[in-house]
Amino acid sequence: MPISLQGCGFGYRRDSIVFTDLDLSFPEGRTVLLGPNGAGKSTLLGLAASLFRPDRGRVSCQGLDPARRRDRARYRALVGWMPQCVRPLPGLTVREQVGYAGWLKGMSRRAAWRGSLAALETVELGSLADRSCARLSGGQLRRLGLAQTLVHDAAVILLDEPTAGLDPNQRHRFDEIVTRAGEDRHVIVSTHQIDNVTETYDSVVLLDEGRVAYAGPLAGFTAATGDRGPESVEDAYRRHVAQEV
Amino acid sequence: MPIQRWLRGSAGRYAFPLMTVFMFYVLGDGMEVLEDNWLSATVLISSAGVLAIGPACAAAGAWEGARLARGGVGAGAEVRRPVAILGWSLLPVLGGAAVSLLAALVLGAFVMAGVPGFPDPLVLAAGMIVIVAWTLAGFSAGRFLHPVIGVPLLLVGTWLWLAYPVAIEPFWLRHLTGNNLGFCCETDSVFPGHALLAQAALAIALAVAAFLMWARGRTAWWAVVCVPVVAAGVAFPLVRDMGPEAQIPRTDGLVCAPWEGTEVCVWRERESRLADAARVAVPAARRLSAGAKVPMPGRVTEGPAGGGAWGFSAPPGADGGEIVFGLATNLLPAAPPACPGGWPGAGAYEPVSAWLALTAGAPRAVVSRRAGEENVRIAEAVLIRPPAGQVRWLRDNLAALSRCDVPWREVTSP
Amino acid sequence: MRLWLRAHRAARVSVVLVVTMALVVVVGDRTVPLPNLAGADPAGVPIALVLPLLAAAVLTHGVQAGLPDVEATAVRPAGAYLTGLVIATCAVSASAALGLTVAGVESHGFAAARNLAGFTGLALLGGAVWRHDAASVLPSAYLFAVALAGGDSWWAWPVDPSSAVSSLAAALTALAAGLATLPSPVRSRLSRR
Repeated sequence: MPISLQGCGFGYRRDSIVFTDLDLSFPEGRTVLLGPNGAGKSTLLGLAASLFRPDRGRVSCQGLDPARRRDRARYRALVGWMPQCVRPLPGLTVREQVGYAGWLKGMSRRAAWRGSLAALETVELGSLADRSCARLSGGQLRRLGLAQTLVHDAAVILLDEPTAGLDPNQRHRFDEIVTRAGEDRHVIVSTHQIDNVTETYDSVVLLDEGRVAYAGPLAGFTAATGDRGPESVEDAYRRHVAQEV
Repeated sequence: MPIQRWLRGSAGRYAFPLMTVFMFYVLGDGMEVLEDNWLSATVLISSAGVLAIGPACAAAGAWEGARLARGGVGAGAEVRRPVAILGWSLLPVLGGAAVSLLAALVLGAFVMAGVPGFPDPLVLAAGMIVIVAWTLAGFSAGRFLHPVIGVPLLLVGTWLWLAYPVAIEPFWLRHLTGNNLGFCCETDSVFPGHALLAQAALAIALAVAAFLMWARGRTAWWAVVCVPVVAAGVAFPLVRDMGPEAQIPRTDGLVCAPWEGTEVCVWRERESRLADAARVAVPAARRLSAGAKVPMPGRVTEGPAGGGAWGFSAPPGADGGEIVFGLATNLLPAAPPACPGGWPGAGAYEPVSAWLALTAGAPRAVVSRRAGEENVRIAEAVLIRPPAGQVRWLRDNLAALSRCDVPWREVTSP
Repeated sequence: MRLWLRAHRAARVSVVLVVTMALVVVVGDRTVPLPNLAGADPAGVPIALVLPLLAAAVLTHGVQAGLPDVEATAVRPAGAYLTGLVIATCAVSASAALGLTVAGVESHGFAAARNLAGFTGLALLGGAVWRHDAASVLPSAYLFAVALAGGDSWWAWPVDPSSAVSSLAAALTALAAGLATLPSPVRSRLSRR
């Protein structure tokens, strides 16, 4: 079980509550996190990444609770997180930025430097390793963010809308990278792109208005709509969200 | 875009109350000591506006520039022209500045109630150009600077440029900034047009350079360097020889009327005091003419004297005695001579003033207050002498006041 | 650590600190005229007390630079590093300024270092409770408000002389409050914006 949340409540302000009592155990393998805008996908990943502390309840991974000081570092070493907005660091090269992310995740300077090149090769940015981060395109920045997540060899990778704004070719390449990355670790990807869900992911978690509308294998998600590829995922999505409404 | 949302997102919303409060604060005491002319009020309002609004607008501009840069407006293929984007972005900030200035003008109108005339449009225009220029400079800087750095940098930088030159030399530097607080203008003087021109030229150059920098980015570096340098080259000669203040003698705006064979002129702001002033000044001039054995002037005027005209001043609140004292002492040399080894005639100034004022008929109390009791006693000792001796004493001492080689003659001298 | 220093613009912070100190030494005792509500002292504010605002802005920007989200989920104590950067910068400036003041080179030297600490604290506080990109608005507004209001109270610390102990305490309190808002190991409600 990669990450689980038990009885979690969380709000940005008192009048902006996102979760009241969330129970969720992410399935193993590659999981896609779906849901309408404002459903709480990014907040959920933020909780899972230990960016936020839940107001109530508990987040855990392999028995480690990031709210506990003694568990925090080990928990964070297990979890890699790519935020929705990947920022380039002016003055640093692509490789340096990835190495910096690895260093922050507890790797030694040498290990982070070595690992950065491998991570960049994985996301097909090896040829741009010495380029300034500030000169990357939008798609390249997304891949840089993924490399930052992969560099420290996390057991669970959380990707927050990694394909937003990418063209179909770039999305396809990104999916291939995610598929490869998911071979030896758990990957949880928040996205609105559902055309490739059946090919890339094993499981689905659907959030709607701060509640889990569905969590389980892809086959179960599309059971009522038949095996028609992306169309059936879209129908299932609509059906689940509509039911909730 | 709905107006409400447009205003809500602008830094002008926050800058407006701050700059208004600051400006009225700067205006504060200045309003109480205004001269009885609109030019002094306009210079005060314009300078308070520049000093208070300029830095706030520059900081707000830096914020707005950074906001557009962050939104990628400059990098996009925008439909509107740069000047339109800039204009709409800065309109709330500059609108707030205009409203603040307008409020200051309304306050000025209350204070100047009864004083004929209007705010000087050129002074106001120069002030507004300076404010717009610094706002544009901030906006342009915001394109390249993060607001955490840009906002305080522009706020402090603009404030230092506007306020600091007043405290240092050379004097010409202070006349380039647009802050003319306290430099001008008594009713008998006007603001030198060349100083206004210098301020406007520099401000326009700053605005142009800032706009080019914002619209074209670093490719316009040549303009950013050249335009202000050229403007400084134009502005510097215009203010190079100016002293600490920015005022030159006023030559127009006199209202004249004949009075007992002598023409009496006052500034048009004091037209209502003309008859009262003439009733006091003309007899005083006649007494002085007889006592000092000098020809009766054809004209007694608040304007430029000389060539058969005597100067005097009839400011609001001045009573007859003070008008007479002013008329009498106007016969003294305007400036002391530049004497390398000390001025031996300096001691003559107060006794001669007292003698002239008493001869013109000024009350003893007024003369004693203005020239000192000791000097009144000296003058009275002279006055009991024969007329020819008095005239000789006067002429010798007038020579002492204007030359370095003539010592002044005390009353004990023959 | 080298990359962390580069990510947080430590070189730029150092350069600005050195330039600020140099300016404090060269023109620090000059005063800029400013109207004063107290009315008694039209002399204005010494430049040495104003310049630290710019250094504090650059330091605050350095603190905000880097990869905030990634650092907030870092294994290494990124928040402690930021606290260290701020404290080290303030300590270096205080040591240098104390030397200047004691040696009689610049009487406002220690007040300038005090203001650097206080302004940085206010900027960090302003960034946390309002918005990060407007962090330096709070110290800027405070400086001008205090300079206009005048007075000798502890709250007027930005315009007080080097010898004012209560002003030093107030500035250090502001710094402590600002440091308390730096990213904690797990984000609190205050810093979620």
